[in-house]
Amino acid sequence: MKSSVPYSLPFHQVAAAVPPAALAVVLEEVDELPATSTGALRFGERGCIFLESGRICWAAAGGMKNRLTDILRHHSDPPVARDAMERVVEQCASTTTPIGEALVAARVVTVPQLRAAIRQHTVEAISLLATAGPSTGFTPHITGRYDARFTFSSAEVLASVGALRAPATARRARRELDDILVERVGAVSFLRDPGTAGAVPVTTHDGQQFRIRELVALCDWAMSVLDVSSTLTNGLRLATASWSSGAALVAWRREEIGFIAVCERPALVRLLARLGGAAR
Amino acid sequence: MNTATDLATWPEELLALGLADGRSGRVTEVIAGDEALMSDAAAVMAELFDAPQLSHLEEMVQRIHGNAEHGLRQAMVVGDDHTYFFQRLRRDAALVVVSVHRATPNLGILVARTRTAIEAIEERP
Repeated sequence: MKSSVPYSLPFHQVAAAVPPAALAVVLEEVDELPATSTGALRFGERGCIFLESGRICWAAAGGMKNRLTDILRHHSDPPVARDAMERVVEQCASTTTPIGEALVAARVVTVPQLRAAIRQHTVEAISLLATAGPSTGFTPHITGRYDARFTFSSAEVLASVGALRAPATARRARRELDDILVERVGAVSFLRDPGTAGAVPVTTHDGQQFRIRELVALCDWAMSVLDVSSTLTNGLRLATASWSSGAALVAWRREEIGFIAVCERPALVRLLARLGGAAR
Repeated sequence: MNTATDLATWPEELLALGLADGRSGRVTEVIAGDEALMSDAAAVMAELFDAPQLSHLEEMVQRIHGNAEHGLRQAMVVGDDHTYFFQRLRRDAALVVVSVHRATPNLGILVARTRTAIEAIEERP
């Protein structure tokens, strides 16, 4: 639940306005690093994206000091007490304990609140970094220290930026996927960008770990196939494509939201049954 | 040979069945049913099977399944009035069997019946 504490700075609005293509360039750099990469993708003086075993665990950009506190206070009800947070932060500075985990241990925030806040901070920082072009290099670190619960795939980051543009729609898309999806299915929901007519991912469901190129290709294909198929039949419910290897794609639409799911044949049968039953 | 009459069962909901060129979308043979439905379906099928993004998708499928030999084999479009089913022939991937069906609540049965019809076409000399 959100508290009534407003954001002190509108980083979320800045992030939502970043063109998806610019963000995709930066996130593709993350994808291209080895899956075991732990370290910092640097953007000169502007900031860094930190990776742990190939997953994004944090990002920082100039001007974002105290932004995590701002986000945590905005997303908690009652609002997280600023002085309680500051006490934990001071203790962390003397013990080198990760701040997020210390906040959870001190029961200042819950795990879901913290994950959502870290993701939002990371998404906003990466969006700011993406506005000024690609990275200036990667510096590996030797040891990792981030909790895997608080790390994100590049696809999740891209979709989270899309969700900032239309939060209510993203929540609706998430509910649809939670209702429809069966085990062993990866899926993405997307909206059409009114400016470029391209697809903007807004949620991912992590049955598969999509790379950014794949995510974009999936959304573009789904948008194209739904457009083409809707010329063929009234009340288009879904379109599928299957490979002889057993892999399958299923695309469908609910009002302005498009969906694309990736699965194998056994899951496809169950998914079609659910979509058939849920057709509107 | 009239495959329609040779089919073991002609599914009740099947409205049209034929072959089309997967690249051009031209109908090469209407085996049975409504020719206009076949023609519309074949034109859309060409876009499904020949979309520019398809190579990215095939790369993804290959990455997930670790097999570079598999191309797109089937597609299906389900609407409130009709269901369209497209399947490349095993013996000639350029040829796609196109079938048009009345809407049915049970997609699983439709797919199973359509496969029976397609098997009959695959077995033609």
